[in-house]
Amino acid sequence: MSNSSHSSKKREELPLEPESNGDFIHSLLPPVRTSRGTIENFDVSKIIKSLVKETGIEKEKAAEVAKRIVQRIISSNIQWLSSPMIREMACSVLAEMGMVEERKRYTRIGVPIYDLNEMIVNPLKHTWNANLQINPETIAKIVYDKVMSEHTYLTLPGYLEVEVPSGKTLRFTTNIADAHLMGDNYHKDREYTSIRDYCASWDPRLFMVLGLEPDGLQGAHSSSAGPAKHLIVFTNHAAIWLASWQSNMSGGQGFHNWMESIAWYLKELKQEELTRAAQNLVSSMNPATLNLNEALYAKFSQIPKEIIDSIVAYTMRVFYEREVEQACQHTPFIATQQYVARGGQVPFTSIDIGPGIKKEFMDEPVIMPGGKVSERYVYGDFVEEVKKYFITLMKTMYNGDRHGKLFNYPKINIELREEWMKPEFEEAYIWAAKLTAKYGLPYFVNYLNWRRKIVGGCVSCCSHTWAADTPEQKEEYLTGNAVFGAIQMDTPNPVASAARTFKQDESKFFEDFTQIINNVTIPSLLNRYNIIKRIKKLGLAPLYNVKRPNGKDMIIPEERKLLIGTIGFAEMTEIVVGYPLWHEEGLKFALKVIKTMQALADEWSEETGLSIQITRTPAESAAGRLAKIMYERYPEIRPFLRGSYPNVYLTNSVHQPVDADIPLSERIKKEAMFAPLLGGGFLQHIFLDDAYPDPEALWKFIQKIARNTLTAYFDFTVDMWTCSSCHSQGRMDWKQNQFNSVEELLDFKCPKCGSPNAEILSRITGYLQGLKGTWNDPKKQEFLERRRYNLNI
Amino acid sequence: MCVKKLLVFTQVNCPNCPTMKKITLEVGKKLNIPVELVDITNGVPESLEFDLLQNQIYISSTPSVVLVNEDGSIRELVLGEIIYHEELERRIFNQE
Repeated sequence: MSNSSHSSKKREELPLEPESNGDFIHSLLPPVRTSRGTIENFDVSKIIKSLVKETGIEKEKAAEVAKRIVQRIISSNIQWLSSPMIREMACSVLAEMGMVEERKRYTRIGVPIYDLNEMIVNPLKHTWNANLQINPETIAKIVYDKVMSEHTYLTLPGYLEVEVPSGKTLRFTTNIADAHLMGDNYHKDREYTSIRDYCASWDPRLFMVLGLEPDGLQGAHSSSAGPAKHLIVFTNHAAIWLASWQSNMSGGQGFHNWMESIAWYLKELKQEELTRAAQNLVSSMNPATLNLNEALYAKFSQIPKEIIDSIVAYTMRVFYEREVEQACQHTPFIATQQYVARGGQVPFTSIDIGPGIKKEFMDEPVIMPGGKVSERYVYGDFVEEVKKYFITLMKTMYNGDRHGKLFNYPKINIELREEWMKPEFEEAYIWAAKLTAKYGLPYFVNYLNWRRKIVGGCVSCCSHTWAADTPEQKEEYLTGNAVFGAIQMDTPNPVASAARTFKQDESKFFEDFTQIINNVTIPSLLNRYNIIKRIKKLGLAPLYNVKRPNGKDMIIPEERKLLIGTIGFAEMTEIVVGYPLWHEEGLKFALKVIKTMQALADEWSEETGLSIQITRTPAESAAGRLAKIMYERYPEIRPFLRGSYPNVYLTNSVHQPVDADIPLSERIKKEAMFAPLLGGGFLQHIFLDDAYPDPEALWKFIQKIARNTLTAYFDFTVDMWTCSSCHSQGRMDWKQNQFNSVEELLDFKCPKCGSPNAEILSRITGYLQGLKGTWNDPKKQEFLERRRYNLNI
Repeated sequence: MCVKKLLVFTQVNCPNCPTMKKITLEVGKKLNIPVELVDITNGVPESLEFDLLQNQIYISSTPSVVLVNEDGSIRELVLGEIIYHEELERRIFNQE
């Protein structure tokens, strides 16, 4: 009622001034609230023009659509009109006239106001992204995600033409959006498909040489910092580098060669540097101390100069060690406190570290800030110093934050390499084991088995492993110019193929699954490749075009990987061959599927000239989403799905089911069999019960896993609780805490003070996150069903 | 544990393969252990690959040598490198 009178008044205020022979018609039409924020007279020609421009239909057809819209407005006596309303009517008319594609191009993307109100007051109920926290930026992110995901569904091409590095132009008729909606293929990062690249691992020497300009525009919008000269500035630049790249990419950001990069900044810890500094007492930070040594000699003339020098050197060592400690604290704090990227998330960060210098770097001269090559030092001169740094970092992580709470970022990827399997590195690794025993934090990257042949290996995100494949990449790896990572990951769903071919010949499964990969997964990967090329060309992400020290662009789409993900192999195996994945027949079938995927990836790599690899899908959202769709689409396979409806889920990747009643050694080995075949990476989890393993025995166990299995990358998950009321934390006591449902998990209270503000921390997939607040329900269900092992050590 | 045979994995165009093949054949002859040659230029034969993976062995490069015991268990001796007679014998007898 009030709307009607209000709009009538507006009509009086804004008399129509028709321009042509439609005067009378126009006088019957209310003014229009436009999306530009104005109120304008109704003008039918604007509808016709926009239909022609946006849908590509002919003017006559557009006029027919406009005519029907006008008829509707007049006949229904609508008094309040806005341009979105007119657009809705136009879409309805286009659909009625059978112009489905035109309607898709013309539709308006948005969020129903009811949903938006809900998102504002309860944002985390509207996302399955477990990395989001409650804050105003998150609301913006959730609204953005809805809009951009819808945009992706509507704009993913039905026909794709792509020029590939092999020189060919490939053409596909596909339906990537529907395949995602139907659960045949999981298109990761839909909200970012059209605007940014996926994930990367960087060499810190990139900013150590270039300095820091986070805008990618020589500091035109940010400021321009020169190369870091001090350790704390280096760690600060490192954090800003990852955060700024996180704003340009949808997936995890990590560093490789961290220890080699930091080595130069640790030179003050070297005895020779300390002695020299003590003798000169030249401090770039405090020129007033320049003559202090002379003053000391004079004041304590009875004491030999050498003794004074050694006392000063000792004092300086204490000072520098404190600096290293500060830098070590700086790294996890800044990684967990900068809520700056992807809508109020902390950047998803990781660093690859080890207790020494990698063997291929030992004789390489050190690259110094600004890019000069040291004439005095090779990296091998810093083994002791980086070991100290490593231990200090482990101790920092072990102590946790002010309240003793663990740091969930950066992900600490600890490399296991033959050159460090010596007594002198034992203490450092035992500190890593202590950290593992306490919180289950580190990830172990294995170079002790078949992977010892890998040069330039690194990891990023929560599943992916990379390696320098060509001599050029190896050179870049050594000289601080390497950038690893992928453009996109799409996951074909084998459970959908298994369901469609249920009780049919095995060959039917392979036919169906191959079709998904060829007709959806590959075009989807190539579509994102096309998009990244366009983003670069248009300069929409200036950082992509910044030059590395060797003159190459930071992001070169042709050099980045395209990833085919894996999910639900446990369910697939049971549906197709009737055996669980831990049974020999199940394993054989699953390996056959992986080999088929690998063969297809190889064929497409050859065809395109791009590198296409198979990988583990993190699947914190995909596991639940795909299972729910499978449950609804294929009732006959419901008994094979994990969990219980609506909290059904697929087992991640090629993992054994979390509740499989098999010994730990069998679980590790049977999962590890897939590691060499997943070139894009495979992370294995070992879920621990509440017993605290002895760190020394745990270190022996870690070595045993690394040497005696095919595993590439593994972690130990310890379930922790933390209370924001009394600031206590501890391990989940699984004898005291038993949960029978997802709802019961939400009632978890602090074991110390009873506050409901207690949270359970665990590894959702490849990272640690609070369970009550951010995990989606299917993943919570999986958490309940996890079999946790006692290492008995 | 009784040794059943040694498998030598080679590829066409692998520079170190002929040498490792020769050494393994000589050691096999000396110790009276049969030696089988497996060309993996086009991949490891499917029938063998599963057994290798189950025994936590992956032939990521050549030349490689594995030892097969009578009970079917398999042990990696060489992965993508050349070792000489004495060292190969030491590894066959699992001497650290």
